[in-house]
Amino acid sequence: MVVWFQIAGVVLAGLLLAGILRVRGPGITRGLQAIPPAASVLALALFWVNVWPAAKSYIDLWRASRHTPASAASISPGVVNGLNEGFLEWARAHLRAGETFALAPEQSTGTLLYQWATYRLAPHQLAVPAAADAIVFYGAGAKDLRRARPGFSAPLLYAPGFGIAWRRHAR
Amino acid sequence: MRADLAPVALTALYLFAGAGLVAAAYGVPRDVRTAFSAAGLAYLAGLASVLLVSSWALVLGLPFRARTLVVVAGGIGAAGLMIAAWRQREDPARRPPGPRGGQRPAGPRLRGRPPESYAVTLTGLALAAYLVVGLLASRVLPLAAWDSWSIWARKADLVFVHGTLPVDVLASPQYAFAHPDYPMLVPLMETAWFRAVGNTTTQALHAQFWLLLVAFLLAGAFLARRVSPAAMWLPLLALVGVVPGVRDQLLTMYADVPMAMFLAIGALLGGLWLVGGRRSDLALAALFLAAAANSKNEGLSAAVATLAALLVVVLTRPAARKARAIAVAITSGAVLTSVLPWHIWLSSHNIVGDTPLRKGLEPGYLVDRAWRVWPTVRALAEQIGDGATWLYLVPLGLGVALAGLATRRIREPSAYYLLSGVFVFTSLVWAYVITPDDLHWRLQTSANRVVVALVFLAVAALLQLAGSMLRGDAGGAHRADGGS
Repeated sequence: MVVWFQIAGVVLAGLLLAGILRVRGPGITRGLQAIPPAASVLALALFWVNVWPAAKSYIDLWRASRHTPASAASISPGVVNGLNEGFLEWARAHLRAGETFALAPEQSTGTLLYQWATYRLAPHQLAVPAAADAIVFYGAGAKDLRRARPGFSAPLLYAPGFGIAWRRHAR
Repeated sequence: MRADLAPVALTALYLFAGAGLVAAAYGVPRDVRTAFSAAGLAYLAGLASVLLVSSWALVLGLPFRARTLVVVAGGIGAAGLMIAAWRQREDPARRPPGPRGGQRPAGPRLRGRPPESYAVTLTGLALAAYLVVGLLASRVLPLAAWDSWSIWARKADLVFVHGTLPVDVLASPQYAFAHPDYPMLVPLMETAWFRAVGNTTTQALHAQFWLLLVAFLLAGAFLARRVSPAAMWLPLLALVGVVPGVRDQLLTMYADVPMAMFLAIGALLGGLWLVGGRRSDLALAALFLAAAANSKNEGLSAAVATLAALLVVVLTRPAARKARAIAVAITSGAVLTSVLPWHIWLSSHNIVGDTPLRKGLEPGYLVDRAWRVWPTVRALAEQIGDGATWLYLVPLGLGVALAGLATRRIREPSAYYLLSGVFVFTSLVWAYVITPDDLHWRLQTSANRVVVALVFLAVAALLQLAGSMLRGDAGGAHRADGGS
């Protein structure tokens, strides 16, 4: 395994340094004594090799992001992955305090939409459709939107395929 | 305006709480220079203690508001300062430990200064400039990494809105993906930030994580200078600052790096106690190991592994064996007690994690899954040997610790760090063996993160052992408070 070769390299570097600096003492002790300074010299070299590229990457990041408003930076995962952030914001504003919601069409828990939508719509809590106060339609087909959902109002649309239907008693 | 002042106010709160704890442990600094050098340790101790106490309060149903933060930080800081004043009266000569011996290393000098001091100064300045650049960049970063919002910021956000633990969400099977069993210290750190700025925008929150790195480096320096000349520890700490695996993971706002930092400081304090016998070191070690245990589930197993290593080493030395074993047992008790409230709360709400811990102790279950051991060992070893990501920190630490094992005077702390590493590694392998998830997927998505605990343990070993090997002791020469 590579890591053992690396450890051997550190020990050899110590022995080499002991030879160069002519460290006094019995053979093995002399070599061992030089391992920590060798580790520090190696660390120093690695720091100087890496500090500028690391700093440069942060300077570039700062240049690229310094004008991004905090509100936009906080929804970046949704924007970068092409989710409809406008709708999620709209849905968040339209759900009333304490209302729970279900997503339609149903999503698997591992999907980005499921996890991002539940994050963006918090503190509204996701519930199973039978118990939800509202159904949030995200990219639903026309048929799904038209399909009668017993006990729910007709959806309030944000855009075709995107809207919210409320349980009748909820509003 | 509030967003600009919030980090200052929050930092001041953590610093005040931590300053009280550090003063209680080591004495009140007599000059600005000593106070500054202790600032990193104070910040980390303050943050750890304030968030630990707040998490216990949260479990008891008390709300986590700005007031809570001020009261908890103020209470801890004031109590610490009172203890410090009382101990100062008992022993007026008590003061924080300074640089080792204050000796100047022998050797060639240029105009009265040893030549390595120029390299140290230059490296220190470059590191400081780099940390400032990193801090500026971290204030404008967009939210990116999946788990940072799906797990950590989600919980922080909910505590911010509700003020209390969001029982309905954490107990709901529909939110099982967000790992409701993960402890609350890191989410609370984020909630504290949200409380300070007054909203849940995550952009400048990244700076809070960057500050942890700055504080870790300062804390490492404060502790390492007791046993090692700056020419030895500064390059090692500077390297930690630029290691791609550390800085990239830190700014994902995952809990792995904060946990590893707490673990490393706790382990280093444990190592210093092992050699120096200063009880204050062990008390602070308990605090930091408790913080690691309350940051991630892996943090709990890593803290237990570190304490087990400490106990094994203590038991192998006849001198004061019983007293030292009792001290380690009390420390372990404190660390385990710190996680109890959270686990009782989880149990009372029937919230279980996805790792079957009880099954993981059944021989039959383990034998059935024994095939997972070797692929896991290989994957973890590959990760720690990834030179481009970790810049050889683990091989450096292992090389120095193995050399220390062969050097009689520092054999004990070397054995302690090596055993800690072996135990932590074993606990990681065990976790991969018992997890019900597909092994290859699990290794692919997390092996690069979980090894960060081993990397930081290697850093702790390097900080204590490197200078001690040269100088002939590993921290025992300095007992400024007479072993208090």
